[in-house]
Amino acid sequence: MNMKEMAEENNRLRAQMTPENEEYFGNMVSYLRTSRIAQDKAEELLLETAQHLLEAQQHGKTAREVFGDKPEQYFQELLEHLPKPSLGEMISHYAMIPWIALTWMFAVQALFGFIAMGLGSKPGVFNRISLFSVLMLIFASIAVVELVLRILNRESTKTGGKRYGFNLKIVSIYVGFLLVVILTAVYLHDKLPVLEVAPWISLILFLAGLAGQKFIFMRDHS
Amino acid sequence: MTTYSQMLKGILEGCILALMEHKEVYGYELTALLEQSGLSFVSEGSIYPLLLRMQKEELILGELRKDGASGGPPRKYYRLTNKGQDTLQQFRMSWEGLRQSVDHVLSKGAEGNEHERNG
Repeated sequence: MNMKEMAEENNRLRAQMTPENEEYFGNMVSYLRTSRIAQDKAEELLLETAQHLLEAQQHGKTAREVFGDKPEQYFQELLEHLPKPSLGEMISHYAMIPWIALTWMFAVQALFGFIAMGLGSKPGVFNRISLFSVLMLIFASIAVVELVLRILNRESTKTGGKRYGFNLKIVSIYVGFLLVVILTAVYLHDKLPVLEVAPWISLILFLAGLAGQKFIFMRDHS
Repeated sequence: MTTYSQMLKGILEGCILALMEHKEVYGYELTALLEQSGLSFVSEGSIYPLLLRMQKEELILGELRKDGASGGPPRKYYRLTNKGQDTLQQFRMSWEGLRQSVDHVLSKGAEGNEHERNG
């Protein structure tokens, strides 16, 4: 059973849970999927605990009775005992984010380049890609994904009215990161070369990027 | 963690190994077997961190596969490894030693109370 099949089976089981159990279990799913752990092992555990909760539910038990009144503490305990991601998994994760971002950047370049050509004008800005924007896109995409993962991870251990609170530490870290990016941008803006890329080359790069997503990063791990 | 809860975890680990000695079990089944054996102090969810640790220490092996009897969706079944088998034997010996010592102390205590009442 690969990760995709496990996640599908998990969704099927979640649909059979009571709203209260589904909320508790949904938080566990969110917490483990946004944590730095071996994701295949996490999916295996989620499938196992979903099956357990459903059996317990049939005997009139709630998720709180099964897993405890302190979800945050319980999720952390699970996390401590799950294996860390392998080096390959980490590299794949951090390579996939900018890969997807660049793929869609080429899609935009190609689309607007062809529209400009169709309208009879030169593609202009859509014919040029600065190395600087490529670098910025790589850093920004990783930063945004990490920020979203951290927020989701934190939110999954909060309940009811406490959700979506303002977290000064996380916001400060990312404001600091953005400042570094902006200062680097100001410094490097005129120093890096600009490449001429015709719309049809952007289209080929977009298609190659899509193929890479499917065949390199989203292979089924059975 | 208090000494008491550490002791309970040690006992629970030994019991889990014993329940897996002759047959493979899955998570829910394991909690049901523990409950049937009268180990009511064990909360159901607490077995999962323990099972993860025991897998990491290579005492048990978990395998996700189809439920042969019902033909239902795959379940994770656990069984003992050789290392787990050895750990279970050690647990049995330690438990036997501890049980004899505690029985001895308790019977002496009971004898003392008896003497006090008679004297």
